[in-house]
Amino acid sequence: MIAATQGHRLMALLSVRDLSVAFETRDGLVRAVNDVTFSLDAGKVLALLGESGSGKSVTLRAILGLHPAVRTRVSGEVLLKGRDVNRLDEAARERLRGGVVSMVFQEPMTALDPVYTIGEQIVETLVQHRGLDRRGASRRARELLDLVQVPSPERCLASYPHEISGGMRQRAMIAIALACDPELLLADEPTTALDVTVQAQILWLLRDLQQRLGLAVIFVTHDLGVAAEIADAAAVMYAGRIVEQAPIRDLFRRPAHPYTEGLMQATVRRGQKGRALVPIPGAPPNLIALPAGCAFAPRCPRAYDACLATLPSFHPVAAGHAARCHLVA
Amino acid sequence: MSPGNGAPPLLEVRGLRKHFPLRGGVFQRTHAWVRAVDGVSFDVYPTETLGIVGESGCGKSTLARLILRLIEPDAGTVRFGGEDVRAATPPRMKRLRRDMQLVFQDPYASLNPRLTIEDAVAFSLIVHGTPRAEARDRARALLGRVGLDPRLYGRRYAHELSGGQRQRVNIARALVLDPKLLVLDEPVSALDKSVQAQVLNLLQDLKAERALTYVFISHDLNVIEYVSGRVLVMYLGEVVETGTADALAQSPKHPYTQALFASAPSLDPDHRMERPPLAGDPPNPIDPPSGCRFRTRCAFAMPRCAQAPPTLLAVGARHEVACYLYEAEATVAAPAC
Ligand SMILES: Nc1ncnc2c1ncn2[C@@H]1O[C@H](COP(=O)(O)OP(=O)(O)OP(=O)(O)O)[C@@H](O)[C@H]1O
Ligand SMILES: Nc1ncnc2c1ncn2[C@@H]1O[C@H](COP(=O)(O)OP(=O)(O)O)[C@@H](O)[C@H]1O
Ligand code: SF4
Ligand code: SF4
Ligand SMILES: [Mg+2]
Ligand SMILES: [Mg+2]
Repeated sequence: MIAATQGHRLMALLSVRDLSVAFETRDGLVRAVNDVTFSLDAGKVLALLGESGSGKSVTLRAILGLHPAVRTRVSGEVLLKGRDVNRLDEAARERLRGGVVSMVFQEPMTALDPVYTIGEQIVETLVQHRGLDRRGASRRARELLDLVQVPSPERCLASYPHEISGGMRQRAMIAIALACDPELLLADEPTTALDVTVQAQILWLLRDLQQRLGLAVIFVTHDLGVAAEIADAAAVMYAGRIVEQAPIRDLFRRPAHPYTEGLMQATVRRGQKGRALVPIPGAPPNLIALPAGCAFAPRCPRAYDACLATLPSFHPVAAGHAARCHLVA
Repeated sequence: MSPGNGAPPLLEVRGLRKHFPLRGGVFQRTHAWVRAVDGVSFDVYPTETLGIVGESGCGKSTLARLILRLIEPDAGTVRFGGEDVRAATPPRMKRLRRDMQLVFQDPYASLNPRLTIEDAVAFSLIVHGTPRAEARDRARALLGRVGLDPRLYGRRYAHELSGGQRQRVNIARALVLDPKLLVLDEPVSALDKSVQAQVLNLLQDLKAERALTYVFISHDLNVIEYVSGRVLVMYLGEVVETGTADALAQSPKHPYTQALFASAPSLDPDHRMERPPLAGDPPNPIDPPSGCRFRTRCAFAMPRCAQAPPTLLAVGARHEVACYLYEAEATVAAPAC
């Protein structure tokens, strides 16, 4: 699943090592992603969990090599099937995006082209990336909509994005992402903008597709509940760093990092009525002026001297479970 | 807390309706109506929290604006402390505006970017005739109470604050006139979970301290169950079920309420959802289904569900549901509430 060992990395579908992304802005250097290391095997689902601004989307875009070169500093390695995405030329990257890996976004309305029908957009993807002729592509487009369980595929194919509901748009988006038979799906909060009853459908669909097609998925979410529904393992991000990695059950049963623990306690659950919530005090740090030590220290109930002085490194907790905290050492 | 203690309701809403015209074409003619709120009735008693839950577009925000008379209803009445809000003369309306305040979801859009937060909070006091210096002192005290040290934050502008801090400013601003009722429209939905808990705790504390009454709107069932004494479940502009938060959590009756509860993630990797409780999206409120509006997604729909809309019937103490499945169970019609 998530392996920190060198030997395992050779087999991983995706291996990210010391990935850092910083943006040059007028106010200073925004250190959005810092030394992120993880790997993902074929057919597994990793939840990238964290609050807004923690660096989830920037990490995902770096995996696709989508960050523009201007005013952006990207360092580290992103090995996709053994090839470093950052060392490929744009044409080769484009081939990766059209084949091995695709992406699903939070707001399909911004990712879909408003002036083409859903059918035209799927067919275009298939013609470009799969080299199908129009007839073959049309047939395949219809199959793809069946695959994502669109109730009336013909009507959906003929519709423009604004003519269908939010849930249907997200299904269409997933169909496009699956058009090129990817091995890795990067999903950035694909259910966040949806109503809860529709979210349940899309989560269930993604889980079903993932299992049937043997997809590897990185599922970005800020929602612990969503991660619990879909992931095999999770990486929790805080201020651009992964602070804890664990198999999903371990994360919920034995969170090791005080931030993860804090998140679990702050989340409103069923049957909690009458008991005060335990919030995490304060707010995340400014990424332009990250503290020297642990970035969580100003909010951490257990912080001590060492936390302010030195950055904690990753310490193993159990098999596949590690946390970046001095207390775990 | 309960209507049982004899106090009359603080807020009485009867038969509220608001349909928005959709205009289009060269002549901007109305070609359809959005049935945003369609015959909604409920009471809110002093110091209780009434939760309103439902999916996007079901009419929650429209209802909030109708209660505060920020928009005029097509039909129906709102009474506050026994007084008909629609009939209120301008001076009365000014008074009522002090007593009823609204807190919005988007803490950024609702703050004036050109005012320091201290001035933003003091603003309505000044409008209502409080001398400037006194208004500022009271604003600073209130900022302190909502957790923003006025010495550190008082002179900042909204864009210099985090989302959670902005929501605190909004809450301070809503409280500065000492209202009796706060209508909170998704007050924590835009916030991260860790900050959401801070704001929920603050709201609970303020409510106890100041004997406030809340109408709390959210699409998050967990949050609604946590804060509310009583809950109203809305679907496409109508109330489909109402009852105590406990009754709804323990035995939700309406197929839609049941599906809402079943759709919420369990937060337990060992108890994942086995299948999605509902198929399809909520239909468009422009052309809602005939009869029971939920019938296009309901697993129990019968032919008669398409013919006439079911009415709210009591199925327990202060528990009402609008669904034909419960007709036989329904007890004697309870007094309106
Ligand atoms: N001024 C308006 N003109 C036309 N339609 C409107 C107007 N205001 C609201 N609506 C429509 O009325 C319906 C109810 O809207 P409302 O904002 O009350 O929903 P809501 O329950 O608050 O949804 P959300 O959970 O997304 O906030 C929606 O279909 C909305 O698009
Ligand atoms: N192009 C950019 N220029 C400057 N800052 C950026 C840019 N893109 C993202 N950021 C910043 O990087 C941080 C991480 O962003 P992001 O990965 O989008 O967070 P999230 O975890 O919510 O997906 C945020 O502080 C964001 O404002
Ligand atoms: S390193 Fe220190 S401050 Fe950081 S999470 Fe651990 S105990 Fe808290
Ligand atoms: S009235 Fe009919 S369609 Fe409506 S919820 Fe009840 S059974 Fe379902
Ligand atoms: Mg993001
Ligand atoms: Mg709303």
